[in-house]
Amino acid sequence: MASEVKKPSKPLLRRIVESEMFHNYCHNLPAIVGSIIIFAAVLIAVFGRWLAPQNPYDLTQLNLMDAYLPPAWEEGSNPLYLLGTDIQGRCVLSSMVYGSASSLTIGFVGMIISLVLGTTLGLISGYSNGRLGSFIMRVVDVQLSFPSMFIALVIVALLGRGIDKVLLALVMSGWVTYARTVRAETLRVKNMDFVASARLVGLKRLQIVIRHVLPNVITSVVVLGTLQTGNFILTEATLSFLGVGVPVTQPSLGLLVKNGFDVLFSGLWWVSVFPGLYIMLLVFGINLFGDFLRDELNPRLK
Amino acid sequence: MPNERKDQLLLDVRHLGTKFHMFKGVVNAVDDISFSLNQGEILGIVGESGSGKSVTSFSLLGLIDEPGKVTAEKILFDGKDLSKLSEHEMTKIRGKDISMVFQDPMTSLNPLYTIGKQMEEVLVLHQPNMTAQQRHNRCVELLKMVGVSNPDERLKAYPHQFSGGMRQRVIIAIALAANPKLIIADEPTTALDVTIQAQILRLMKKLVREEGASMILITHDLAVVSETVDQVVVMYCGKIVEQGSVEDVITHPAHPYTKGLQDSIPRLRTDRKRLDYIPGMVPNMFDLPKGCLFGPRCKYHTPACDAAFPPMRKVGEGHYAACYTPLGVTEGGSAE
Amino acid sequence: MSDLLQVKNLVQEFKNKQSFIDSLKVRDGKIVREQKVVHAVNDISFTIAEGEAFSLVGESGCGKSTAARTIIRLLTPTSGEIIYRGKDIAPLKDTELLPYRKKIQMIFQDPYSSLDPRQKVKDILMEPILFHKLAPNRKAAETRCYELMERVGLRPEQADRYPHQFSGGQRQRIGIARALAVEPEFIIADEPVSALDVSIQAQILNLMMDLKDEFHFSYLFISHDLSVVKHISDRLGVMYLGALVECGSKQDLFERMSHPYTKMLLSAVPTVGEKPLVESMEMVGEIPSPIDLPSGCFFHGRCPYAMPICSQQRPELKQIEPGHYVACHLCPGKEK
Repeated sequence: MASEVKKPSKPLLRRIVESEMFHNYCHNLPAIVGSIIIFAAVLIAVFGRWLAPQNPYDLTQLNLMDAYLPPAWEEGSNPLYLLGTDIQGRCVLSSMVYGSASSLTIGFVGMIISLVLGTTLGLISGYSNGRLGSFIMRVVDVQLSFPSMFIALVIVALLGRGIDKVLLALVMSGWVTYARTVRAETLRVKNMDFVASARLVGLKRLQIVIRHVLPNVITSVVVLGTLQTGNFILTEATLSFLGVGVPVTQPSLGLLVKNGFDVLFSGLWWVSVFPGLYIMLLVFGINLFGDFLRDELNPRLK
Repeated sequence: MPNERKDQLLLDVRHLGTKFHMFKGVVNAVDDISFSLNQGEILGIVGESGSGKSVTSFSLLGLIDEPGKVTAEKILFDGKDLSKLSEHEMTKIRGKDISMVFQDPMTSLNPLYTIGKQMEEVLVLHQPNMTAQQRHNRCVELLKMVGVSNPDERLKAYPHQFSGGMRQRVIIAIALAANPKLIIADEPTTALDVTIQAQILRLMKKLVREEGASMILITHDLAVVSETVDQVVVMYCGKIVEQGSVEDVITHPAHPYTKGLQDSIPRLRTDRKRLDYIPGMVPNMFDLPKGCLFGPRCKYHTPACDAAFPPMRKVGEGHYAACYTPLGVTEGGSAE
Repeated sequence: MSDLLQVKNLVQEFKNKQSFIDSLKVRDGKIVREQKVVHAVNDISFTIAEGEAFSLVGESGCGKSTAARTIIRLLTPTSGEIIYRGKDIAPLKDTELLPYRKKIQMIFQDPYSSLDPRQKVKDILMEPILFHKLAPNRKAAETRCYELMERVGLRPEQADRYPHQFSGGQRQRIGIARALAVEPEFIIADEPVSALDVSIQAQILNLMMDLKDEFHFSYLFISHDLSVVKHISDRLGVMYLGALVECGSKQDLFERMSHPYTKMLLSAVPTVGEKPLVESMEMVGEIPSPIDLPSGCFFHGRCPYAMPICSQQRPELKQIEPGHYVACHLCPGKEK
């Protein structure tokens, strides 16, 4: 008799700890370093504003007399400003804490929007594979032939500056990667017999795509997404550096680099070097973790 | 010529073992096996997936990578102990004295080079004294030998212009190019159709005989073995369970596993309502049973079987089985 | 016995996927667009009676799998009729096919790609039950799923596992259970055991035969392995290059085989210590491409008995004795 069967399932946490992936993670120093950097950066971005020495955008807290103070370990510094101050007497460290929030938000939100958009279009293009599929792929080709900077410049020229415009620019160039990968994976998966068997059950196309194709292509999307977050942070920094990114009222790390750039060669290096290093560290961490995910989740490497 | 060389030992493997250190534990892919091969003979290694038959051949050639580890008392090949050679010395033996034919004819050839180029490469490497003209002639001769018609033309063709059977012929030609003493063929016909399989097997058998070479044929198919080889080694979970001449092993299988395998193949001449089968499945390599590895699936299982893996026992002239109660043998050890 | 399935003049052609530029050819000084067409199934007709096991045998590329996928309407035929219980299902749309999806099910060859790696066994088995509302609620569907698992020899405790935690044979059992879930009347099995180890093959074949006795469904087996086919089928058809060359009962084909290709296939099958059914035949050539079909009889290029007429006229499938059909110029048909 097969009536009641006791489930031998373990609690989720224990399953994770006992999994091979977790074991590999524990033995992979770059992955650990990467995830610590990401985790710390997120914590700082979310809670840092309550710990930062000052609020750099509260004009009442600024003192022009404190402009261009060097970092704490140099001569003539004020120990209150650990990494020095900029032209308006803003604490560089505090600016970075606030700026990283903008950078990370743009990176993550941009990634999620382009992931959803690109995956959807990739699934449609891969599974239908008719004229619509080819059309989407031609759009991808056209999109890839435009430099993302150019798209961003056009958008800013037409709509003005702002976080939403930066996001729009990033998404417009970012979705194509997902669309391509998902399409390729979909073409592979849809020829597998379990899809044929789902058709024999009688499932409709949409049901097959959502229940059987999507879960099998999602891992490669997750890997791409992680790596792309780093890319987006970099692209946004570049756009802001060029003056077509975020507005001065919501500065990101890229804008901080630009602000210090004018005085970089006058010996006031700290204004742009610290935000620049922070961008580098962030993207480095994300890439380390992304590489680990790629090695772990890529079914072809297994 | 081949007859003179017969009965001369070409390969003698003693206590070969290959371990893989994995996340889940250690896998004994090949566990303490010994066998030998005479010059001019064809040896068949039979086993199901996971029996370690392919790992055996890779271990002989020193092709096991991390996390694998090969240990052997000796692998004596043509007077040299392969287990003691450096990687550099092994490179000289691989492809020249020992060549390999793999299962998948679609991926064994480089799609970017012509057949001629790939054949000549072996000759350049292992017979550096040949002139270009000699090499070309040799390639044509080899292709003729394996039954590729119009060899002059075909040398200029790319692999994708050949069918699966034709590619396997080319691969065999490449394997023969340097006049090897031993050819290791790993499931050479599994990817091919029956009519093509029959052609290729007959061809390989004929060429091995004519060239006086020896061959190790690795396969899961008992029928292929029974039609092609002289000596058989039956492997199960990394261990040899039975070995002997093909007549002995096929007509009087002594190990219950060999017998079970044979009985589970449907026959063309006799009709049976149900097939005899081996119950259960091949055990997980991380969690092998105690004692005889075949014990839990064996019809003749006795408590004694769980004590230790049974030692190789002589059941006939040159016929051995790793079983406490081999079939067709009366107590006392001699064959009926 | 009444006919369950009647296949009449079934043709399946695929347009070869080529870019527009590649499909342009110069003919008589003009540029014309010529698309290559793969003739996978060329006009086959046969019937399967209620409760019968019918097999299509042939080598790879002979169109047997395509025929199966067309009959079950995963593909839409180019032309021809597929009459299931008196109703032609060839022109039906997906929504109109729904009632037939419950009656006709399929068992796939590759136990690795036929199960969704992201679904638990339970979900795989419950999907058809819930979709066709064969159980009043989820709880009942779950109970049914455990019953199915027990019936095919799996333990219900394994229901929460994922396919990759099972061996090939167990996966094939899951595939069989999924086909059984909708209580079908007709099962198409596409090479159900060819990816499995020999000892497991016998288990699965026995299971499939037991289920047939228990549930009285009919089978269409697709296989390249003649000894397997001999074991499981009542009648069979031999396919070559998309066409049926011989068709008849098991006795007709294995005792009085008439088509030269059938003889060639039978002589190529390796056997374990058995005398072959057919004298060893000289095997030449390879299967021609299904894009450029040979003229006349498709087999004439490889046939040892080819006559001039064979390359000019394609032989009809003629009845040479009751129920035994052969398409060969050598076999004179009997008037009905």
